[in-house]
Amino acid sequence: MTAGPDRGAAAQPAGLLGRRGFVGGSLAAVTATAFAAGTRPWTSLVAVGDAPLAEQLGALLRDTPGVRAVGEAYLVSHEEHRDVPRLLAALAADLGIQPDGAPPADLGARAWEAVQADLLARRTVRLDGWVASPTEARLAAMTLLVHPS
Amino acid sequence: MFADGRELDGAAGPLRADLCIIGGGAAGITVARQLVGSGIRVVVLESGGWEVEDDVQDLSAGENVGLPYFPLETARVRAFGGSTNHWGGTCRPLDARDFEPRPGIPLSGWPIRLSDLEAHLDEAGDICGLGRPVSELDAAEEEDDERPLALGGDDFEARFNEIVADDERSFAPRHRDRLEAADDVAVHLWANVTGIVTDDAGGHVTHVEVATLTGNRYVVEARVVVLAAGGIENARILLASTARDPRGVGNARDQVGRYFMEHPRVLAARILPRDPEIDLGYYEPHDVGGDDYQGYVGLTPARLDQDALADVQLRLRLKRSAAIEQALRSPEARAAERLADWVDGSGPAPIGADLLLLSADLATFGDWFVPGGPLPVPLPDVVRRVLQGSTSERASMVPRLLGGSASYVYSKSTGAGPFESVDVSARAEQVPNPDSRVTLGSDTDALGMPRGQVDWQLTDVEHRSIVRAVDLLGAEVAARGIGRVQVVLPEDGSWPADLAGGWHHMGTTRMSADPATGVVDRDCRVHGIDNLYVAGSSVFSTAGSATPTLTLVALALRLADHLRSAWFR
Repeated sequence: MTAGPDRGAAAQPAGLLGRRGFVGGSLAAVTATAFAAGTRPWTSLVAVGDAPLAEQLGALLRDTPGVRAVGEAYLVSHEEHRDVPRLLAALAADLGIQPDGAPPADLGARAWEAVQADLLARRTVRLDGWVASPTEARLAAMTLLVHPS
Repeated sequence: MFADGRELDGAAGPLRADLCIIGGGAAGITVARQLVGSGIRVVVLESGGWEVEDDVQDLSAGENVGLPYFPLETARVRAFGGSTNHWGGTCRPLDARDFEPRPGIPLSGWPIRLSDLEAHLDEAGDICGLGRPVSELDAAEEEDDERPLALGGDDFEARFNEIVADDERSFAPRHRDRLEAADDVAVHLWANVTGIVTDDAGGHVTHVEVATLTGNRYVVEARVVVLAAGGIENARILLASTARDPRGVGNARDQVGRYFMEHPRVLAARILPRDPEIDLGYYEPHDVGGDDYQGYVGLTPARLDQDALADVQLRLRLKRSAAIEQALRSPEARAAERLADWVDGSGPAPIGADLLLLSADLATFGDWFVPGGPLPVPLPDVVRRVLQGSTSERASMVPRLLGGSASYVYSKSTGAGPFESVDVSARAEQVPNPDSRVTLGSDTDALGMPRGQVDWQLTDVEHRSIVRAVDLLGAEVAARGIGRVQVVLPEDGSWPADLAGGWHHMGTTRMSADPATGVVDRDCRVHGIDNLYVAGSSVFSTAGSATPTLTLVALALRLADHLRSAWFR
């Protein structure tokens, strides 16, 4: 499940920027810091207000070029998820929520837990060479779809 | 004692001995030194002399017809001491599970167990030149200030290796005196074995044929023969010994030369850590109590068994940015290196040109380093005082100066520095594969022997095992917030251009209780021949992922014990 490694690009400065962006934007990396600081994860990342669930999910990851690259790589191998309702359904299943219901207040925490559960269970996908949680990859895809550049 | 094979009188008839050892490398020297003073007359036949010589090395030349591999004439040293004259010195015993049958690993399981070798490991380490007994490896790791990354769970473990000091690695200076003083051991240099000859029935070796590059030829008759010429040459000599059987010696079941195993190495992945000052000192050679050690990341036995994987060891190494790599190759960095040598007393006093180079470099250091890097800005007065100060003042100031200016010193002293990522190099256990083999080529060497031909072949097991290892690593470092992993090994099963071996030649006369799947039995005796034995890593039934030298020396010690009890009681 991959778009294939891009070894040539990885050696270029632009590739480094992309990787930094992915690391900085990833749920697991950011929440680790949040926990270390004793703060609740994700609250600063979740869109406020009554935005639709898809938009809130699409705002969970920091919108960086790296996250977008991972999201695009996921969609290349999962064309059916370019359809937002279908991607939303998949993510809702990941997080154990209703796709057509109101976003839960602990959306970020649920996402973080789902990602951790994927990683600890060794459920991973490889996207552009990056080892990622499938949930995380779908969140990256949602970021791309709800915030097209 | 030592003798020059080129000057022995071949016309005087066979030279007789109790034991003839073919090869004066790690295995052959170990067997010989164990028998010094025993009254057993030992002849060691070593192809080379004291140093590497081109015409002698050319005897190892041959063709690679499989996966890309090192030129064969460079893959072993033909000189007294063998390839210990040129090895990395890393030692770790095989694990107990390496000797057991394992899921997913064809032909796994040795006829012996680690417990059969454990009594020899400390002595093997001493013979190899280790500073501390192998049995104290765990204690050394506990004393180590460097710690492995916090990878854990059920999947990962740290693998600790001791490294023989540079000046202790060659067996030639380490063991020469003992053999030279021995009345009952004769080491023939520049003496090449061109054939092992059996009786007509093929079950007993009667003599060994020797030839030199100067044209001298002679015969050695011995009660027992030990073949210890290296993983490629052992097979080559057996296959080329066709005086009684066109299949060669010990090859009635077409097993000689098969199962050629290496430790395939590739750049498998990169980690982009969250902490730009991540400490990877555990994974670099480092000092613990006066001896050098190095750690690797390994998979736990539970994970290996669960996923039916070959063993994999991962080395983590900081990959510095291109700017730093360039700086490390610069004249300024070399000047810094010379200054550092002077400061620690290992080099001559610095010349003015070095200081000027550094001074000029400091003025432009901003171009060197990655913006935001952790290097402190050098103080101008430090530069001035070093350039104008006395010798003692310089000695006190240069470390400060270097600590702030030269990438060389920074990387040497901390093991860290501005870097782009962490390279994850994988070294896998190659599984036994009958199609990976040493055969004879059509060309012959200067002595008329068919040259060796290596057909190195890997299976999907090695590739799948490496991919799985780095996928697991990717999940673990992400879950623990250490960083993210990008896999660079192709997923399609192909091997990248940087695939290489570890100069480890194993399996070509593998140990097996069944003659249908190996060449030697549990005593390292060739199946079907009562007085021919093999020493060296060519007897490894499986390769493990640890470096082989320590284990092959332990096996040689065990063989020496066996020879005493079985033949020379």
